[in-house]
Amino acid sequence: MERILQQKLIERDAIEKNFSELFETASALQENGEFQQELPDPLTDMRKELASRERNIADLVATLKLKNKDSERLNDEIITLNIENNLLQERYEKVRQERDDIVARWLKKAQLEADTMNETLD
Amino acid sequence: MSEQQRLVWTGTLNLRIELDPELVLTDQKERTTTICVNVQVPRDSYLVLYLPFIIQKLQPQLRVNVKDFYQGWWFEMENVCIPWNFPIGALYDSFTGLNPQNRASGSQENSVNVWKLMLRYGKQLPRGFIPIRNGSEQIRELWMHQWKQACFVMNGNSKLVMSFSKPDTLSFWESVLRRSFAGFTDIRQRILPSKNDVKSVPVRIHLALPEIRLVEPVCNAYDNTREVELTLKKLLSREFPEWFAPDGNAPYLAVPVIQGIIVPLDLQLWLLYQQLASFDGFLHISLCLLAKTDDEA
Repeated sequence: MERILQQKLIERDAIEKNFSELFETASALQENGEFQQELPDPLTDMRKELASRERNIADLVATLKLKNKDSERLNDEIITLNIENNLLQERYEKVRQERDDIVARWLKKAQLEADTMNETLD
Repeated sequence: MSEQQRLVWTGTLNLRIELDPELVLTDQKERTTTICVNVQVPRDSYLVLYLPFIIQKLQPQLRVNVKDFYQGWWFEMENVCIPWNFPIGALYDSFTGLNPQNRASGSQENSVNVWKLMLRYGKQLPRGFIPIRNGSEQIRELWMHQWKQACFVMNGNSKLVMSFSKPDTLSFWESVLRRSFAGFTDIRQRILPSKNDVKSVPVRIHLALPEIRLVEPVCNAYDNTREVELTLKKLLSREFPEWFAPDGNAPYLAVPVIQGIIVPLDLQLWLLYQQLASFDGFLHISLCLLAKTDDEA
């Protein structure tokens, strides 16, 4: 039975290790797994710069989003006020019309009264 | 130490590790080129132990400065995060749903077996991924805990592992890092009980379908009378009666794969453990569901 396992393991390796020399053998002993700060090099500085710029961009994008929201809100407000204004305008027109009618009627009445008075005087 | 154990220990996997395009330092227009590294790692080890090696290879192409070789990094296969706390070989068998028989029939003289993975980095780790806060020390501790568990399962207590001297514990771990088979088996043999004393067998069953799942069954090495030994067939038909019909009439719908090979079902579990157990003290079994075409073949 153990022979079978052995045979199968050898067959497995024949497939899995085929051309495995093309793959670099990884080592678990790199610096003993501890991270060591490297000497400062321009690339490190550039990456830092990149990171800070990316943060900057992210901040600006966030601000832009906020501003967009603000402007949207203001737009909404303008529309609401416009509608309100239109309604008030309509009402104003109606009331003005009513007033004009009344004034006309009053004038008419005053004229009538004046005419009657003139007639009696005559 | 047997030849099988040595083969298990020396088994390797070829990996092609791609760098997440988000992490590549390049001109926007050239984002189409993939940056990758090809490495060969032992089947019987943790993949994260090789993170420093892999990251150092990719470092010149990274758009971020590496602050820690372990924290925040993880591997993915087809956008599925790969846990780090199991041996690579066991993960490969279950994640790829390896069917050694199919692979052997499709393999040619000039074919290369490669597992493609993607290396990712981020502050937000995927769900269910154990964060590594303390580098290789944390990995070593987790591994020792695995051995304590395995020792408890086999012997009924963890005294053997707990009473190791500091140099013994360290050289046990060193043997894993340096891939020293002799050093490893020396200490491993001290933990394994003799055939008559073994209580249970530390087994972990990995399933990738229908969902990724880990099953840790209780496997007493003998039945109550201590006469009948537990075989793989008995264990599987007890745990997965839907795939391994206990009466033996229906055909089995899955095959057990250990260390990349299909194992005969009628072998005793304890024997399998001795020959094919992984470096963390557990016997990792991957179940490969058979497709219709497999049956016909």
